[in-house]
Parts: sequence; C-alpha cells; structure tokens
Amino acid sequence: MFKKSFCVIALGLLLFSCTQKHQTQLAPEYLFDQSDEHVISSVINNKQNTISIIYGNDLALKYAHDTLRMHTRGEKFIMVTWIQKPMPHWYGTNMNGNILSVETVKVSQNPNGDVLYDYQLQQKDGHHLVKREANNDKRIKLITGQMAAVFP
Amino acid sequence: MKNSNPSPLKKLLLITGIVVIGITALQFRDAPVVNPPVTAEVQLPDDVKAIIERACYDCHSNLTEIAWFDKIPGASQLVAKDVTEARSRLNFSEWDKNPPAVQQLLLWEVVNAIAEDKMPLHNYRLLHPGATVSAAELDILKKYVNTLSGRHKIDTARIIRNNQPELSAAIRKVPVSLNGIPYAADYKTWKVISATDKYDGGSMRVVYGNDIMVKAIKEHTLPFPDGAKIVKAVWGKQREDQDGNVLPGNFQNVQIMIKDSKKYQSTEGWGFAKFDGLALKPFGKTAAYANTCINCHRMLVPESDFVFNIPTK
Ligand code: HEC
Ligand code: HEC
Repeated sequence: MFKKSFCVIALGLLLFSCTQKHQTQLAPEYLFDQSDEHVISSVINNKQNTISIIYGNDLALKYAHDTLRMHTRGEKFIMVTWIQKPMPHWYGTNMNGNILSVETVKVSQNPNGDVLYDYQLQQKDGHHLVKREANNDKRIKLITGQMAAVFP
Repeated sequence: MKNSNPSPLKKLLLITGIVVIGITALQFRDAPVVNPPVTAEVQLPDDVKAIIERACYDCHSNLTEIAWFDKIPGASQLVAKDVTEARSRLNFSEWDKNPPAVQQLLLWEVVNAIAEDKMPLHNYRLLHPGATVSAAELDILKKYVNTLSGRHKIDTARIIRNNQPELSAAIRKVPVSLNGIPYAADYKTWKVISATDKYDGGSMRVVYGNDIMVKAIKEHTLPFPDGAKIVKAVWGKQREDQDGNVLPGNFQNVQIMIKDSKKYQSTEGWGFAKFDGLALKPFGKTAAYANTCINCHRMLVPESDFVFNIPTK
C-alpha cells in the first residue's frame, strides 16, 4: 500500500515538474497601474541596468509636446523604473522585470509665479512600495525634462 | 466465416506486397533533392561559417549533401520536404534576396533557433548527431552577431516630431494592412505590458495590451482569449547621455497582434499588422507577409501563445 501511494506521488511529482517546465509563469505583479496617465517617453539605462517609462497627466503630456517649455500648475509626472532582464526566448532584447521604484513630480506655482516641484520617491521593499527621502534636483530635471516620444 | 481468414503466409505476402507497392509509389512521387545554383553565398568569418555549414547547410543552402540513409524511400521524401521548406525560409546560398537589415535579423534568428534548441531539426539530429551545435560553438555565434552594425546603432538624425497626432489622424485616411487590419490609435489609452531595449537592431519599444489582454495576464490565462490585442510602438535610440540614459529617437513603426482564433486560424489565431514610419505605410507586398511574422513567433514562443512581450517570472 505504502509502495503504491509512493509511486503515485512520485509519478505525480514527475508529471508536475514536466508541466511546470513547459508552462509560462505570468507575472502580473510587474505591471504598473498607470490609471489615466499617458506615456510621455521611455528611458533605457544600461549603467543602472534599468528601463523606465515616464507617464504624465494631460497637462504634463501637453508640456512634453511644448517646445517653449512653459510649465502649468497641476502637471503630474510619474517615472516608473523596472530592473532589466534578458527577454526569455530571444537573445538580442532586454525587457523590464520587477518594479524598482516609482517617482512622482507634481508641478505648482507660488503667488510670485515661481514654479515649484513636489518630488516623491517610492522604492520597492519586498512586495511594497515605501516612501524614501532622496536628493531630487537631478531626478526632477530628468523626469520633467523629456520631450514626448513621437507617436503617429 | 472462419475459412475465409487468410493463412499466415498469405498475410505475410499481402503485407510485403503493400510495402513494396508503397515504397515504389513513394519513389515515384518523390522529387529528389536538386541543388539549384548558388547565387549569393553568405559572407561570414571562417569559424562561424564552418559551424553553419556543418549544422545547417543540408537544409538551408543550395549545397545539400544527402547521406545514403536519407536516400531510403520514404526517408528521402521527408528530407526533400524539409529542404524545400527550409530553403524557402532561410537560404544561405541566396543571401542577397534579403535586404541588409533583414540579413542581420536573420543571423540573430539563427542564434536564437539554436539557443532555443529548435535547429537543426530534432529528427535530423537523430540521424546526424555530428550536426548538433555545442554550447562553445553557440558562444562563437553569439559573439559574432554582437559585432554586426545594428548592435550599436544610434539614431543621430534630427527627430521628426508630430506634436498634434490627433490633427494628423483627422486628415489622414485610416491605413489598413494587406490582411485587413486598420491602424487605430486607441492603444495610447491602454496599459503598458512591457518596455524593451532591442539591442540587436538598435531600437527601443513600448508594448501595450488592451483590457482583455491585461485581464488575461492578471488572471494567468493562457492561451490568450479572442479579442486580446497587443500594440508595439518602435523608436530608434538616441545617444546615451553622461548618466547612461538612452531616450527614444525617431518613430520607426507600429506592430499589432489581434487574437481571433477563427479569423486568423492559419496564423495560430493571431492577426499580424505592421505600419511603417509616421505615414504608417502598411507593411508587405501581399497579405502572405503574416506567414513570415508567425513563422518566427511560432518557432520561438509556442509555450506563451506565440507572444514574447509578456511579464513572466
Ligand atoms: C533537416 C533540415 C534542417 C536543418 C539541418 C536545419 N533546419 Fe532550420 N528549418 C528547417 C525547416 C523544415 C524549417 C521550417 C520550420 C520548421 O519546420 O520548424 C526551418 C526553419 C528555420 C528557421 C526559421 C526561419 C523562419 O521562417 O523564420 C531558422 C532561423 C532556422 N531554420 C535556422 C537553422 C539553423 C541555424 C540551422 C543550423 C544550426 C538549421 N536551421 C538547420 C529545416 C532544417
Ligand atoms: C525574426 C523573428 C521575428 C519576425 C519575423 C517577426 N517577429 Fe514579432 N517579435 C519578435 C521578437 C523577438 C519580439 C520581442 C522583442 C520585441 O519587443 O521586439 C517580437 C514582438 C512582437 C510583437 C509584440 C508582442 C510580442 O509577441 O512580444 C508584435 C505585435 C510583433 N512582434 C509583431 C510582428 C509582426 C506584425 C511581424 C511581421 C511583419 C513580426 N512580428 C515578425 C520576433 C519576430
């Protein structure tokens, strides 16, 4: 009896391991929920081994198309950064893996008309995004400074 | 009734007869493998060439050498079928039939066909064990493709901007692919399912999925259901800045896959479309271009419903 059930379990494990190997394991946790934001541009960084997308609300997208580069109060930019990984089954392409960080820049103006940036960094810590303090001038420049990628 | 059963001897004769007739019939139906002239031999470094010649030339060239056991009737028919199909897909003896950019992509595809253990064909390797490409040889091929010009291509041309896509869409006739798929800009409101650095050809991509596609990913549904749509937007890569950032250059093309298992049955249920440049010129000369699309996707990603760009563990 013991022998029999052992065989059944062993066979089960064997079959299971085979099907495991051939089935693609989808990882929806890598998706970012962009809600209504638009894609402004994307950034590859091979020094950091990351790939990012800069999203924006309507105003931010308008700004990214604007060659005059005039900010408007209410623009919101979100830069999502993923770790790069080799694309499965195609040597020759790297793609995004897990999310590393989400950076948000909100643009406002003080009564004098000066442009103010509110920068927030969230980093992936285990399964959660955690707020972090960070030096932000350079990041703000990178995130708000890109012209929109060209779409047809 | 029992009496009408043939004796064992009669049975044997009958079977032998059927086999002989079968073999003869096969021989007559058999078009022997002929070698057409070599019109433009692929140019490769010696070490790379030696690997390809040994492992691939029996099928993917006009220099096929048939071994004696491949001439056995039945076997020879299978060989001829494979050679004809293989040459139509990739022929190292008629290399200039492919435009230069396609030649490079084919060489990357060669590496991937071997890396994914798809080529040489398995049944061929059983009879020709010497044709197997070793891991060390695959490394030689990988090193070589990394020296091709597309590998480090930078888009230095002035970026042609299209600041009012809605306006250009309003005045333009909707482009339709040769297999009847219209270009629709609604993907810009879909979710991004992947972002890629396609360093084999110097481009970067953002890939979108419609609600049905994203829901399927979230619910781990494979194969993807009818109505799933994927759109991939492709740009050149600008020069890397001091901090290592690379940004999209000129818009190159948009590629579409639409799942409809009945309508696109011949291409594994996916309708393929590609539109080139900001003018969105429909790709291909005839609607048969979709076969070239699925051929590559079918060979390399059958286990993920023929889709590369999905988030996977
Ligand atoms: C026994 C014949 C045979 C040999 C040897 C062979 N192939 Fe193939 N190859 C085929 C056939 C047949 C196809 C058509 C698709 C299929 O059946 O999988 C094909 C398809 C391909 C494709 C896909 C082209 C497309 O349509 O996109 C590539 C790439 C390829 N082979 C590369 C190679 C390489 C590289 C080698 C050597 C390492 C090789 N093949 C050896 C028979 C062969
Ligand atoms: C030589 C192999 C090859 C051929 C031929 C090919 N593709 Fe692909 N395709 C790929 C690879 C590799 C990827 C993933 C890398 C990337 O993002 O481009 C891909 C990705 C895609 C995607 C995004 C969804 C996915 O599967 O990842 C679409 C859409 C697509 N291809 C459409 C097409 C169309 C349309 C054609 C024909 C005009 C075509 N492909 C021909 C290799 C090929």
